[in-house]
Amino acid sequence: MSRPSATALFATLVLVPIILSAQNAPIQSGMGNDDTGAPKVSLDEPLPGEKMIDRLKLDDKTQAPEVRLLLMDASRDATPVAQKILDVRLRLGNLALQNKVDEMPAATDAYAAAATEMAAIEARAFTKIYAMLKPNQQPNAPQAFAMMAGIFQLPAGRGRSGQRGGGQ
Amino acid sequence: MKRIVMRASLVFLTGTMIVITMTATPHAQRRGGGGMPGGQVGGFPLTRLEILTADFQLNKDQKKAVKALFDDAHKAAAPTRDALANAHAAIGTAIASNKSQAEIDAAVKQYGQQAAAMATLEMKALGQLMLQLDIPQRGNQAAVRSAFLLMRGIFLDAKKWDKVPDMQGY
Repeated sequence: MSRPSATALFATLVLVPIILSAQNAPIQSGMGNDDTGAPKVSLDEPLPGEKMIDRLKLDDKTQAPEVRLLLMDASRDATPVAQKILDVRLRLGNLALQNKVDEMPAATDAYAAAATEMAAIEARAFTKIYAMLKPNQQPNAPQAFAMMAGIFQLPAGRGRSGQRGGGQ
Repeated sequence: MKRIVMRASLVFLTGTMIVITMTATPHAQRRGGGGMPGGQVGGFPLTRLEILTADFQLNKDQKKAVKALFDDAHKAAAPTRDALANAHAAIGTAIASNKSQAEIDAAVKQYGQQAAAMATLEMKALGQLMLQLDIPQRGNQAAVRSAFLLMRGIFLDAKKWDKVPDMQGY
C-alpha cells in the first residue's frame, strides 16, 4: 500500500514492458476469439479519415483517393512522433505516481515539443487537402480539421471483448 | 478499383498501427484480469468506469472513490479542454484563412502546449487512481496497462468522462 511499492510496481510492470512487449507480443486480430485481448478494428465505424472525407463531401473518384494517399503519407511521417508521444506519456505517468512534481514540467515540455511536431504533420496534411477543395467544400473545412485531431495516434482504449455474468 | 485498393490500404495501415501498439498490452482475462481497455457486456461496450471496475475488481467503496476522483479531475480539466479545442480550431482557421506559415506554426506550437497540459492532467489522474488501489490490484499488470491507455482523451468530452472510449483524440 505504500507509495514506493506502487511506484516500483508501476515502473516495472508498465513503463518498461509496455513498449518492449509491443515488439514481442504476438500480433493477433482477436477475430474468433473473445479472450485474446487483441484489438478489433471495427468495420462498422468509419475511420477518422473517412469521416473527414465524408464531411468535406469529396468527389469519390478524384478528390477522395488523393486525400487517402495524403493521409497515408502523413501517417508514415507521424509514426515515430506518435511513439515519442507515447514514451513521454509513460514518463509523465511515472513521475505522477512518484509525486515528483518538480520533474514534471520538463516532461510536459517534452510532450509539448512532440505534440507540436504531430500537430505540424496534421497541419501540413490539411493544408494540402484544403488546397484541393472546391469553394463549396471549403465551409466544411473547420469541422473536417477538427476530425484530424490525433488522427495519427492511437485512439483511447478500445477493443477488448469480454463478458460478465453468465456468458462466461 | 483504385479507390478500393487505396481504401483497403488506409484501413490496413491504420489497423496495423493500432494492432502493433495495442498488443503492447497483455491478453485480457475475462475475470478480473484486466487487459485491453474497451470491452463489452453482452455486446454492449463498457464505459471507462466499468472497465476500471472490472479490470481492477474494484469494491464498492473503491468504485465510489474512483468515480469521485475522476469527476473532480474532469471538472478541473475544463479550462485545459477549452484551450485545447480552441488551439486546434485556430490551426484550422489559420490554414483556411491562408495565413502565413509563421502564423500557422505559432498556432501549432500553442496547440502543442495545450496538448501537453492535457496529457499531464491525465497522467496525474492516473497516479491518483493508483493510490486508491491495494497492492494486489496494483500488481495487476494488465489492468494497470489498460488504465494507462484509458486515460488518453478521458477529459475531452465536456459533459462526462465515464463513457465508452471513442476515436476522438488530440
